[in-house]
Amino acid sequence: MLRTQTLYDRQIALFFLSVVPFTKFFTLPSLTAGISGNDMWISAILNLVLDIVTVLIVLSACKKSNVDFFGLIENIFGKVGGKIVLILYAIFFLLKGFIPICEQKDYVVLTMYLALPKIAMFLPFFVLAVYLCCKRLRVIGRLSDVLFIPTVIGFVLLMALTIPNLEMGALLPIGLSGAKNIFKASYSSLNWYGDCVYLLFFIGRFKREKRSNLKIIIAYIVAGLMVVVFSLFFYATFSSLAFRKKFALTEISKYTTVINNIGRFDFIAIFLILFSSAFATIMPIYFACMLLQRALPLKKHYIYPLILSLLIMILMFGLNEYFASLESFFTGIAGIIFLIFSNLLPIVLALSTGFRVPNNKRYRGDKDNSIRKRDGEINDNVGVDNGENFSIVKGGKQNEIQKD
Amino acid sequence: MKIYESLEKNRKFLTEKLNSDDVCFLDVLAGDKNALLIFVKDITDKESLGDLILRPLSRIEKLESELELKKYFINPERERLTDLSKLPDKIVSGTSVLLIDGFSFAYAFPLVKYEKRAITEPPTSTVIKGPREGFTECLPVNISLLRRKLKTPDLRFETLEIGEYSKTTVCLCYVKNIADKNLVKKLKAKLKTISIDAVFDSSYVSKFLGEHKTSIFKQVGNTEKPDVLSAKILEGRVAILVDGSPIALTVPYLLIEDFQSPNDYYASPYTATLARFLRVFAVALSTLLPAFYVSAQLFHLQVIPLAFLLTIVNSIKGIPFSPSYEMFFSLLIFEILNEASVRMPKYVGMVVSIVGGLVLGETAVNAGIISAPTLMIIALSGICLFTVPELEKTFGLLRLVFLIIGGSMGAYGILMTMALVLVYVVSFENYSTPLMAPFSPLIKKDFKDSIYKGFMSEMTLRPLSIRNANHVRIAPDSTNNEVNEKTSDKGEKNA
Amino acid sequence: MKFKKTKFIALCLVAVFVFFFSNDFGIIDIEKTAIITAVAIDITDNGEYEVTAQIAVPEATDANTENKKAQISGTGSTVASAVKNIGDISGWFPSLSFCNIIIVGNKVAQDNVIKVLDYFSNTLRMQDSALVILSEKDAKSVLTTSTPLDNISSFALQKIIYKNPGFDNDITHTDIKTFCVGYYSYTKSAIMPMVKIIKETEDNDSVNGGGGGTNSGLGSGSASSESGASSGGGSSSSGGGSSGDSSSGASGSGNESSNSNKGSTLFDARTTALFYDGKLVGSLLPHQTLAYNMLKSSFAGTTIEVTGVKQGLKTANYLLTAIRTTPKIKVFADENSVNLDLSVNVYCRLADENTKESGNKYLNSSTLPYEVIERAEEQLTDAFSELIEISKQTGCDFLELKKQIYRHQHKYYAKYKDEFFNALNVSVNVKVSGQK
Repeated sequence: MLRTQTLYDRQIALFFLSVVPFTKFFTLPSLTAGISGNDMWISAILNLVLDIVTVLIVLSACKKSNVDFFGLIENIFGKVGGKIVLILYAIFFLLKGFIPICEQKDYVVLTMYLALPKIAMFLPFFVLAVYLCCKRLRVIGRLSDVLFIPTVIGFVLLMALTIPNLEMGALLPIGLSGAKNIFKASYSSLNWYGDCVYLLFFIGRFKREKRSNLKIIIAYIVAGLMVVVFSLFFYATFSSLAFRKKFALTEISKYTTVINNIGRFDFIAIFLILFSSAFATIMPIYFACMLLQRALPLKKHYIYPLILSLLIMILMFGLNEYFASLESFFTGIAGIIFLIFSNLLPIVLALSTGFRVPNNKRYRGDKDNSIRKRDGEINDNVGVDNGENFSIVKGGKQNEIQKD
Repeated sequence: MKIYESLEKNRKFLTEKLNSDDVCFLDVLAGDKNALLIFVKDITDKESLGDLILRPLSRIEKLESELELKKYFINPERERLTDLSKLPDKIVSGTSVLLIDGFSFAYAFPLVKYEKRAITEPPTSTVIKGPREGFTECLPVNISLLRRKLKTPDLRFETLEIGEYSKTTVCLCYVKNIADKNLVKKLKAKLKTISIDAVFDSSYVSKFLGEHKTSIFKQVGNTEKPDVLSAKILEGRVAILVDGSPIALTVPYLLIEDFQSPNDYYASPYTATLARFLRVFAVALSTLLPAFYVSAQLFHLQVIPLAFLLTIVNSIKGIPFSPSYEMFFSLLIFEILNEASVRMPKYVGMVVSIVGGLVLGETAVNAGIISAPTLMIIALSGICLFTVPELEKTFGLLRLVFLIIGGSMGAYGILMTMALVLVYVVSFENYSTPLMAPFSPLIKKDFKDSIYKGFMSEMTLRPLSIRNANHVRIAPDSTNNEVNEKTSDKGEKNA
Repeated sequence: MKFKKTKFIALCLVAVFVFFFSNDFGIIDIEKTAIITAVAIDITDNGEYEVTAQIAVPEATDANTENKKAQISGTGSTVASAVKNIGDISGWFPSLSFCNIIIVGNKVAQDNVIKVLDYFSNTLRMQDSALVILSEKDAKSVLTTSTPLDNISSFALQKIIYKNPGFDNDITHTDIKTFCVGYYSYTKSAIMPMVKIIKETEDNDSVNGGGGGTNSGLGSGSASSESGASSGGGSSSSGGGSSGDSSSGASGSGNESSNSNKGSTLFDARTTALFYDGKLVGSLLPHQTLAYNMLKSSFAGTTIEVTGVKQGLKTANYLLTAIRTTPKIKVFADENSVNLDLSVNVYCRLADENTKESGNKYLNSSTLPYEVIERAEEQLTDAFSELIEISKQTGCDFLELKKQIYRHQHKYYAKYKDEFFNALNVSVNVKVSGQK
């Protein structure tokens, strides 16, 4: 039996598992440690709870619907209004992606290379960004299927190397920094969180099966736990120095005796995480391209990825000197924008309409996203059976076997 | 163009078309009528010619109707032709044609006899245990080998001719109730569109079968072993046999296929699983090791353990090239040696390995042109790649790309290139089958024969990565397995 | 479109090749890289920092040539500029990635050691897992010292101060991160081992350690009666333990020294320097260091020397091997005082004795002579009490007592943080028992 949907719930769950944690391992831990100190993990939990609640509401509201995000926007705001909303969302995604990209660039340039390398070293990231942004959503789903392997291995290895040097007592007393600082840290890190907004793009594009919602929620919770564990381990490793350790990822695992003896093999874990985080960092550009392509369709599907990547590259290198001011903007007033677009708007949209729109607005495979289609490409409707459903021919009679 | 009743007219036409010394026009008598037997001398089985044509001809006393002819020529492969324009093609492909004066048709007898190679063990895939026979260049022999393996009426062969001049017979082979009908249809259509002068090997056809012309990844599987091909056909693949080629093609192709060796199926699942893991590891090591080594030396000294770093520093002292050039040129020389050793006659091959291995390698290290670690890495990388010879060229090319990126941009460049390759292979599909299946998309049930090799009794289903009409490999009735239970469950539910 | 695509790919390939063959994107030639294995930091007379880097030159691992070592010094108003100065004057790129040891000169410690360590803690070019040591005198002299322990003095130091089974408890191990964590914490307290250069004369037979360095001589000689806080300056003599146990801390290679390096130099790092607010405020003597380590973690394999055991009219010395220790430090505050319950159970075995009267009946047995147990408990109790006394005198909370109140009874922290040690009621309970 061939599937007509683009993605599987498993792929969405793995997507969140691979994407949610890895933009938060660079400068965010030191930022939150600077505000809420040993309670930084509580701030992380607050952010994650907000995201999980958003995911829960959106998933529940759209349980019996098959309409996608674009259909919904068009239905509510009309054709022109919808386009404006899509463009606004695209701008939001660019804002959301900017700081993580900048910090990844800083991380690569400052920690990976012995001498200060030229900007060219970071160019491959944008090549990957352009290439990935030209791909359809199904490729993202398939990527998630394989990406969670380096993700999990990298994370487990890194944490395992960190454990011998942990001083969990450093996290005490809990709540010392006060509610104000905890909330402030949460607010400041809104730029990094809010990955639940990606769910909007998957709604109506995946085959719902038994416990689909549960799978996705659990994946998001596990991803969130990874962030919380990292925060806990980070502070337990550095305690009073935590706010000074800008690039947590490189710092956290190097105190193990084994590393002193045989060299920094923790770089294997770091490389694996860096590999996953590149995809996680590209996601905002990907969805921005998708939105723009939908709002203002272009015949050549690679134009938006090219333009947006170039734009971010120029801004990143051009505004390098003003990075501190930019960071304070993104962790300050811009928090409102992130809160609205990542959490509030999806919740409001989901609740107000329940994603139930007339049949004529329903999503029909990737045909709606036809701008991406090129000659010779295989129709999304002819997807491979993932083995969950398959048919058996026996004695000329076809029985369908459902997975338990 | 119909065959004339006049033998002379036919002779004139055919003499014009087949003006070649190896074509024999033999005047014979068919009872009281003149007849003309045309055949190509060097590819016709003379014995059969005498037995099946000349002897019956000599027995005919009076020929009045075709019925008479049918009485004498009882060869089951006999064909009745009426189109004169088709006769030259038939003749040059080894068919003997008999024309009789006063009859507007011809009898064609396929009495072709080529010199052919004996069935031997294919050099490209030797096995320790298991069948040692391999395909030959002769299509009928190959078909017979397959028939011997799969004695089912569902095994279908469909032949067609490709090549404007070569008229090569290409045979599509599949099991009717297993192969996906759409795939067969699509392949047939694709083969029919191939317009080429000649097809000398199956690789000619494979170039046309790929849906991505510029891809460096394989898109069509191949094998030289009938047992492997039979197994692949039974998994739902469609095979393409080409006359004159001992290599059969299979469609669709999965990347994991080439990590599976025929040996795996004849050995214990444990050793097979270990072997597959080793192959994957070896290919990854081979592709990435030179690049990471160079980038670590140039950009990331901190990742090298101090003791090893000091060894490197000692060994590269005085080397005139930068690490990236050193590795690049060493790799280039390795590829040249590889290419030379493949093409050179066997008795000279020994010289190449001595010159390459001992003279070039050792002398270069002693002379301080390349360092010992570099040479070691090249050797290791080269050997590792040959654990999966089918993918040697693809990953050899990737190795070069990674090396260039690693030498220019360091480890981050390598990581991003890996990511790029990953996106590419993940999005790659051929005949609606993802190249990376069963890993992407994740198909858990197919893991039993992926990197992990399960027990034969566990593999109750055909790979779900490949579209096929019947997923059950081991019938539910015959084993107490999962499928059995599920089928009965479903049956109950349906009821 | 196809043509364009092919053309694009070709262009990319050309660009990558050009990139590859013309690259110099911050590449540092490995042969021009100075792989620094240790750094010594001093303050010169004119107030500048002098950074001496020990460079593991390739010859160091070349078996065919004579092993060498190289030290290059650079000066500057900051540590960073001094490091840069090394590159400037040598033409080498100083790579700190492999720097495992930082030796701080005594003068630096008198000022504020964090001024120096901050650079190493913050720079991304160096691992802040590098161990940090205080030199008794100037730091440079430690690096430039020729020692029979290894061709490169920093490697010799590594053998002593890296965590090794057997040596583990005679020396404190502090890396940059741990030191800075302590400094930036509310206790402002941190410690590091202090290294002394021991000059051995030709006829001194004591340099035959061969692992004897593990013998810490807890309370041996006069040390047991010393309260030992030689505050300031860090000029404390090695004191207790030096009488009999020679060059502990240095993994013995006495034979080598007597053959090739007459009058050679060894290192002793059993003294622990105490810092408060970045300044050197005192030190722990070797037996106190052992006692400190005993409290910080449960350990095994270390030998404890019990001296002056009275057996009738005679006194004898015993050597015990600690099989297992179970330290417990319990600090709890109430409205009136802070109470410290310090209890340690030591399970040990008799390893050696210097009296023949008792025979060898206790050797390797699970029982110990009563007098030995009594004396060992007395010695250990004294040592632990000394530690608390030193804490009081120096203000350095190296036992992390304040930290416990801060973490577990935070409401009392503000009340006692200034008068913590004055409000401290101490109860020390040591129990020594035999175990096979």
